[in-house]
Amino acid sequence: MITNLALIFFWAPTEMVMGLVQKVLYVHVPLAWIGFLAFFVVFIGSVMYLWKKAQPWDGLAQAAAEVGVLCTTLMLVTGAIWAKPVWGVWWTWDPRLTTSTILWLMYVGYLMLRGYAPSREQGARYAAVMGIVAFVNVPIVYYSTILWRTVHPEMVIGPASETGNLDSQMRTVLLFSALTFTLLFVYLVKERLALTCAYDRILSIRHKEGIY
Amino acid sequence: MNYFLIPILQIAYKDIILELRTKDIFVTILIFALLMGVIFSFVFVPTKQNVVLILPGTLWVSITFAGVLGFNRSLVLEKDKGNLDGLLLCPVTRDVIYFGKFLGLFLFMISAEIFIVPLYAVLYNVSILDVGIPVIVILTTIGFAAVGTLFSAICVNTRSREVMLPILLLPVSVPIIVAAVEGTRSILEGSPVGIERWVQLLAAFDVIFLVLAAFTFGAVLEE
Amino acid sequence: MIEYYQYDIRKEFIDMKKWSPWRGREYAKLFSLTLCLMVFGLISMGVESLETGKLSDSNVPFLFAVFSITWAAFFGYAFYIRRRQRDLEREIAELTDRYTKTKNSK
Repeated sequence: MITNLALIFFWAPTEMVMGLVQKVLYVHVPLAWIGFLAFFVVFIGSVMYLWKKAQPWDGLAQAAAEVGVLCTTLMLVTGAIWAKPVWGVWWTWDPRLTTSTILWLMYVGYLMLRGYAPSREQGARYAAVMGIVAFVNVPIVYYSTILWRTVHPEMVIGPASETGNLDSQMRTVLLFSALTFTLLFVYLVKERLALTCAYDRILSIRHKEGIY
Repeated sequence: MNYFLIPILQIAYKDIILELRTKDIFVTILIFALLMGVIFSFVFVPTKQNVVLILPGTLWVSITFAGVLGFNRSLVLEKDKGNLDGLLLCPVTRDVIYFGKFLGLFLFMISAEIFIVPLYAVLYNVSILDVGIPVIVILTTIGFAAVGTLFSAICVNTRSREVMLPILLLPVSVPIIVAAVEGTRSILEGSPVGIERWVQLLAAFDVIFLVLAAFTFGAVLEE
Repeated sequence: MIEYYQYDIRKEFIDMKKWSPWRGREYAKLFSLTLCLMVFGLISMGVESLETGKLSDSNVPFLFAVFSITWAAFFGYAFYIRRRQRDLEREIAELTDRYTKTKNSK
């Protein structure tokens, strides 16, 4: 929770005057980074789980997927809210947005697969396969939507390209916020993992006692 | 080589024999795709100007959803009398089973698409006599069947399996749908200049996912 | 499957005792602190925008919406995890009580 306080501290003193809505980027971009980091962790966890069949990797994959879906949802929502004053539209279909949507859909499917699987272990295996497939698919989706956009350049309203000018002060704030969000991510994943441990412990106690 | 190729052909042969008796999957894909073609002709009225815009989209959306329905049918067949356990008892490696089932599903989809694509051309008054169209169709079907087989095997043991299959399959097959639609559109427009990008994308997708699915199929089929 | 159930969480790299849930009062303190800081930040932002002459008030609700949504989401998720953990730990305590009681009574 201390990391959250640090987040607030960055926000209050270091205020950029370059347009008020710019500040949304300090939340939106780090959310995108840790969303991607979360799905990378899911991929690593899935591969290690299928390779070593050890339980902690599966718990890590599940925790990272849940936090990742949360962060991706927030990223999409904050992105839309940011887009409205800046670009004038809530949503466009440019490559990054489309890829983010597909990403979100794939990992929501991942979590649903875990929920719908017949047993916990089988669900872990299926979800590990889905995690690997989804992560491998991400660069392909990105590339294909870029190709798609070069064919159809002018969508609903074609926005201008991203504000690419980062002077050093903004960059430090952005990096700092990315760091705090990463710490937040690690904290949330640890919490979720502790939950999985508690659940496993209950299962083991119940099995030992013979009550189900 | 024989230990690899012959079991694949035998597994595919089993699926084909089953299918020839009931013609279940083939009829499902064909009828559903035709129905969607008809419905789309009411939704997007195909005039001479916009038919090149809407034909590839409706064609590939129909084939995608019909394919999902066809995979659902094959899922039901798998689970029904314990086919999957019988397959697991075969003394072959798991990727052989994967390639056998993939070959079967691919042949079902191709045999349906042989009828669907010309019928769409007739319904929408478009000429498809070009060498690029079969290439795109075959590559797309390979990719779709590759991921479809993997996800069918995942969903066969899940609750509400007919809902899980589209949810898992459709986001993952977005690249091939995009590539197929754009490739078909650039052929129909008469300017097949940029088409090698789409073909490359399709081929890359096929190769990547065939290999990946072959590796992970063992984990999916375990008890 | 037996190995799965007898999985020993001491081998896990998370120590459960470290993440025991806080009391409700501490939550309230933390939340009020963050709220004060947010309000302070907003006020200073408004002052600064007045100073530089850029009175783009129409964008402030968006900004506020973004931050409040993000904060609400993260806090909500953390609270949800904490509450579930408390429930699970209560269940663990119950089960261990029952288990030791039946063992002692035998």
